[in-house]
Amino acid sequence: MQHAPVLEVSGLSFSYDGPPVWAGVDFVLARGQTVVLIGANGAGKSTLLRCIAGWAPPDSGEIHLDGELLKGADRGFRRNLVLVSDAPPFYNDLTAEEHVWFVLRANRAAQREPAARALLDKFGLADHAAQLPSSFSRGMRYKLALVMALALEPAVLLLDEPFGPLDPVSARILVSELLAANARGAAVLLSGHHLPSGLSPDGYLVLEHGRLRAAERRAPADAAVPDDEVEELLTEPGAAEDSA
Amino acid sequence: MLGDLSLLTWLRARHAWTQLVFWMYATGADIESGDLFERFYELYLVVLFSAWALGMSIVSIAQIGQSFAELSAMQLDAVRQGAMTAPLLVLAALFTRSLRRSPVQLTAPDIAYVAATQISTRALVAVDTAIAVLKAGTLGAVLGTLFGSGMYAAGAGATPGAGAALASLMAVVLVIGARVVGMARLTVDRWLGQWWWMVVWPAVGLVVVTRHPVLEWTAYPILTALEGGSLTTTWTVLGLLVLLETVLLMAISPRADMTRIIDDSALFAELAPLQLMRVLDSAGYREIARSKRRATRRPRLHPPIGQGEIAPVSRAVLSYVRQPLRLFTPLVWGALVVPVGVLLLPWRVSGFGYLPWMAVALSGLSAELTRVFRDDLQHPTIRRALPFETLTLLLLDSAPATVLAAALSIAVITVFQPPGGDAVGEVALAVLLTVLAVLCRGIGLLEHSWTSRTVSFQSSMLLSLGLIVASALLGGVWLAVIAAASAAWIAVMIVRWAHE
Repeated sequence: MQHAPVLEVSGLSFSYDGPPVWAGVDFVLARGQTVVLIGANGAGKSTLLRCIAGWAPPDSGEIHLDGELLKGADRGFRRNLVLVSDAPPFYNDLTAEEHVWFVLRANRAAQREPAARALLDKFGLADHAAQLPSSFSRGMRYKLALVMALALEPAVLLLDEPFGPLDPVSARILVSELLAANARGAAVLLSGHHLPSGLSPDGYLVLEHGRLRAAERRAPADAAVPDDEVEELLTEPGAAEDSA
Repeated sequence: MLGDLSLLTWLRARHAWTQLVFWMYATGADIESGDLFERFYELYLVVLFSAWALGMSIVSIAQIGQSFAELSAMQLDAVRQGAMTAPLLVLAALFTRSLRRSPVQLTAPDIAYVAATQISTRALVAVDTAIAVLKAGTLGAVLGTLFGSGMYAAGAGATPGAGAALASLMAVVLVIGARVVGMARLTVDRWLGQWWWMVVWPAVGLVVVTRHPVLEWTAYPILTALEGGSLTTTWTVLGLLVLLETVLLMAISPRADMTRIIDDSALFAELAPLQLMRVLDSAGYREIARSKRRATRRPRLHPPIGQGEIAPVSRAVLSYVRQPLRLFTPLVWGALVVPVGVLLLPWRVSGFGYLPWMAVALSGLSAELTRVFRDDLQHPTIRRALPFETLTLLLLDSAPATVLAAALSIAVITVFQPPGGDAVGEVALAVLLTVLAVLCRGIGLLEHSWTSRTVSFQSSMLLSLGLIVASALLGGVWLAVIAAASAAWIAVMIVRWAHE
């Protein structure tokens, strides 16, 4: 069950107004996997995550979640496919805990409130729960968005540049939460270039020149990821041509 | 569904309360404070504003009643025709808007915490439509009261109360109807609806021009009210329409594509945090909205960029090639404002006769002449990379718009040259007026060491125009040319000494 596919993306392409940002994107994410999406600035990583989450309409292609074809009108899948964008927005009149309260109820998951409180505590936000997120630092805002996403225990968690705004301690907490999510069978697809120690992804998806290719881990599976592995993947000569 | 409705109602009520608190701050009241003195102050404000609103309503109704009572039969008929056309125009405007973008617009947090959750689309549409209906109904009631009062005073039509209720209900019918169409578009393929306005507006024009019966159908409630028909039938018809539309809307909305609603809301989501700016600095808001809209489109047309001094000029040309509508005000300036001012000279109108023209010349019509320069100043990273002195950059950046405006002025003055006029002098004056406008705009954008602040365009241009007009009245066109050249020379010196 752990390695059964949970997210299948096939033939996905996207363009704004002109040539495609990327095209022919195919990949499968299995239960319990963590995969890192990498690519140069502007390669379209955030756009790909938004398309998968149903926040942007692709030009073509299909996305299956647990074998079900996702359609824009479907509301049921939303709780199981959660995206935390790189700069999460917040209502300027709801406190941090009201955001959590609202999101849990909107997803029919009010019973997850104790878990959400525990997450707030873990990420050091418990003392700030009654404050407005507009008073938070960038890192605190990202952690609040993570709390809401993790509390829902989705089948697939999409994280856009999660380690950029986080301090090393919070990054370590996130890594342990992601490992716990993997253990529950959740798949994680995250974008980023600088990965913290302790994160041991199962593989990479490299987005370059409008194409996506899968890449295996080079370091031993239990080893921490050195940043130069990511750099190597991005600078491999002819990598894009090979995949095409 | 009920849980979603109550959750969304709580959220929107919370937003409304925040808005109320914010705007009450503008009056000095803090409605979240429990202080007794605050409560008295708020009571005072409520009484004051209620009295003001009541007074204004009475005065407006009386004023409109009096104006309508004084209308001739022909004028009254024109008003009646206008009122009959209004519902069709509103209908077309609302429908085309709904066909171009989702009737439900989401802010960035709405996308993350409403659209991306399991909240049902039906509940989202219901709450959003309820808010829209409340606004439209209120606006309809106000307009209906005013129009009803006027027609009642003119002896044609139902009472103001009936007018208010009818207009309110009609507004609700139109708003919900447009939403049905908009949500229906979001259930079918994407191509539908994007170009419907090209069909809708010519059709509306045809209906209005030919007085097609469609016009009477859309104006049915107004006609009934004006011609003393049965209001009960009208209420019933409108009520049934609202019911039918609501049922349709609730039936269609669960099938609407939420991803497309999110996509349609992208610009709204970006601009939503700037709503206060929209009130306080509408020009700045429009500029940001324009740039965000432009950012979603691929730049087309790539004219070559020159080297050295040609580079800023070609960059300004590029700006107009990609945004040709920006040339509208320089066109008006060159083809209308300057020629009118110059051609008035031979008739030697009195000094006061120039005042309306001067007011127009001091308005924002010349602002676009120096927009590229203003853009450069507002982006220090770019400005620092441009190796030009302030005056040189001002002239180079403004060159395309200035040349176009000046060429138009020359053409118009040549064509409309009155007999006995001094064409050469007038052309020279026209060109100098546009150059002067550029320099005075530049002065308005810079800081001056002798005042340690900026000097507004209006101040420097007013002084210059005063000098030119006085010279023209005293010694004719060539003295005006000398005055304009002198003013331009002084303006050049001021720009040279100024700081960015």
